[in-house]
Amino acid sequence: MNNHRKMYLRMITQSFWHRLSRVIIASLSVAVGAATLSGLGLVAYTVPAQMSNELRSYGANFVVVPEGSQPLSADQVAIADSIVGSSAQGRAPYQYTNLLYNMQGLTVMGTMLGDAHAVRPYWEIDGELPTAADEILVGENLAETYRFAVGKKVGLTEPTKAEGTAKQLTVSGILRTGGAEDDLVVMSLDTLSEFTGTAGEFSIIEYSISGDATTLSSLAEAVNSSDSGMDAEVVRRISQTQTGITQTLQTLIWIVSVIIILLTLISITATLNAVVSERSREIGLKKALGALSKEITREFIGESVLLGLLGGLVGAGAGIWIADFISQRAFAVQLNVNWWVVPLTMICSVIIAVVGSLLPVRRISKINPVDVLGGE
Amino acid sequence: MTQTSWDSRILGNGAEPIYSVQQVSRRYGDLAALDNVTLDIAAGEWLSIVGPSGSGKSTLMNILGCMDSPTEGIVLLEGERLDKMGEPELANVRRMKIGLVFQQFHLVQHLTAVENVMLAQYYHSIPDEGEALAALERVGMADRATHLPRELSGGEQQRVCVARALINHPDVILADEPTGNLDEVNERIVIDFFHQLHDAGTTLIVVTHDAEVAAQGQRQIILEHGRIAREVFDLASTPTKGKPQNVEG
Ligand SMILES: Nc1ncnc2c1ncn2[C@@H]1O[C@H](COP(=O)(O)OP(=O)(O)OP(=O)(O)O)[C@@H](O)[C@H]1O
Ligand SMILES: [Mg+2]
Repeated sequence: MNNHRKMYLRMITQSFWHRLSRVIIASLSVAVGAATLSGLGLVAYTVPAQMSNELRSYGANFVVVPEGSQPLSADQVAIADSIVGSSAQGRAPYQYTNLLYNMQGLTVMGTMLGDAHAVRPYWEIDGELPTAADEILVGENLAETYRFAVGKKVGLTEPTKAEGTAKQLTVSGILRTGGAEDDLVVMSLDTLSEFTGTAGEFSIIEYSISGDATTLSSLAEAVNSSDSGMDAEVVRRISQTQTGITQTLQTLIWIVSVIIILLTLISITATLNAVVSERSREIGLKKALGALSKEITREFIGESVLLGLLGGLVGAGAGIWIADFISQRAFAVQLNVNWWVVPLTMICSVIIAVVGSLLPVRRISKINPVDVLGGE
Repeated sequence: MTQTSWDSRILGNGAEPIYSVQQVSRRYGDLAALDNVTLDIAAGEWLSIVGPSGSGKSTLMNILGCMDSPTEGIVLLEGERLDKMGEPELANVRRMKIGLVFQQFHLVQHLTAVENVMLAQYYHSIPDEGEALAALERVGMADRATHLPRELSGGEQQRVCVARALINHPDVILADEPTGNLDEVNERIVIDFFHQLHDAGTTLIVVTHDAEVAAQGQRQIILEHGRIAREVFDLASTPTKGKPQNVEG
């Protein structure tokens, strides 16, 4: 039995390698199919995941502001926190004020810097987040206007107490966001309170909350009806409209995949039809030697499996390259490729190659040795 | 078309023929490639089939080789009716009982000489490379065992075919013009080999145009227009060195 198996493998591999040009053409169609499938699959399933990671950065999806003109107190923040509870993935309160730099007014945002960076992961900092109480971040535009650089001292004063000497702070980093922060000075709440003298006066609290639109609006409802002088609002962030885009993208990719599978099947069927005709003499000879149609069919299917494996391997490699190219060029996303894409693609290719050969191999049983061996 | 009483001369008394062809015709439309042929072939016999081109020699061989069936009449192989068999049974007969040698050699082009021999083993039972090499050795092809058919001369290819035909120790060797494409040296090798097989008791049925090859047989059948025109017994030219022994595997 073992010898039998060995001879089988020997026959199909010999046939495979001696027909390399045919094999290459046939496996090329498998490879192209496999490449497109694995490429599109990777784009469809890894890009949205990575995009949504990045899209979460487009701000929090839930904000709480004061109902009137009075800023929020620390107590109110605590109430809002308790309502939102554990569904908050990130939360940061902000305090805005104006300070003077060389008699010029600058807008300053005080916040819990680490938390703010978590809610706004799109912050790019050249330098470091402030760690000491005399360190600040300056927005990119501001830095350009006033030639602030990392390590530079910036003297700031509170306008109403302007007589005093300026407080010298060190720039620990330049903030690049492409948004409003680029025009701000950003510092910790402690640092800010040294100017204002008031701790815990907030203009806005930002939350990043996991959950769908209904969860969010019921949370907003809860805050608004808590009668605590706060106004909560759900903010549409891009990741919500983005689920729609993802779904459209995935549907599209499914349709394209089905078309590609069909095309690959057609191409394999056509190629194998030609191969069966080409090899009718060999098939007839094997029958004359006593081979049953099903034994010869098994040999052809074995060759198709090899074809699928080879095409799948080449295709998976090409597919990863394509997916990488697409995701970088079209989505500006770095692709994370799982190793199992390769065996998965190979398995799919084998299935496609075998299914594509089912029709052609049926012709094997119709080949009559007398017809094909007779010719002088 | 006389049915000579040959059986006592070849068969001896009471022995069952390996093939019994009874009133067989094979028609293609109006054309009768075989026309009411009746013929018994003894186990261990060396039968030559001769006749002009188109006389039905290959048609008869194809029927004996279970690759074609008559439109009329019946054929018995070792007492079993071929017309009662389905394709799997016929394939089984081909692999177990028959060895084929063709004029056109017909080797699988992507397999080496030894693998072509092993192919017959593969469909018959279990491939055994050592045995296959030994068979090639017997036809003087051991040193070319790993060559592909296209790297072999016609004579060498035919010797590989002979090795393949005998590897499973078939009861019958059917050879349609086995020396038709061979030079004298290779013809000699093949004929000598047939003699060895014949001596070992194998039934040989050989179609040939070559009078010298035909004369090697114990009996010649001359086909004309699908009928047996004559039979010639040629015992003198082929002194049987061994007794037929191979009746029923
Ligand atoms: N498939 C077929 N369809 C129609 N006619 C056929 C077919 N096969 C054989 N014939 C005819 O049957 C007759 C006998 O053919 P066969 O091949 O048996 O001749 P042969 O004696 O082997 O000739 P040769 O010596 O040339 O090989 C021929 O007239 C041939 O044309
Ligand atoms: Mg012929």
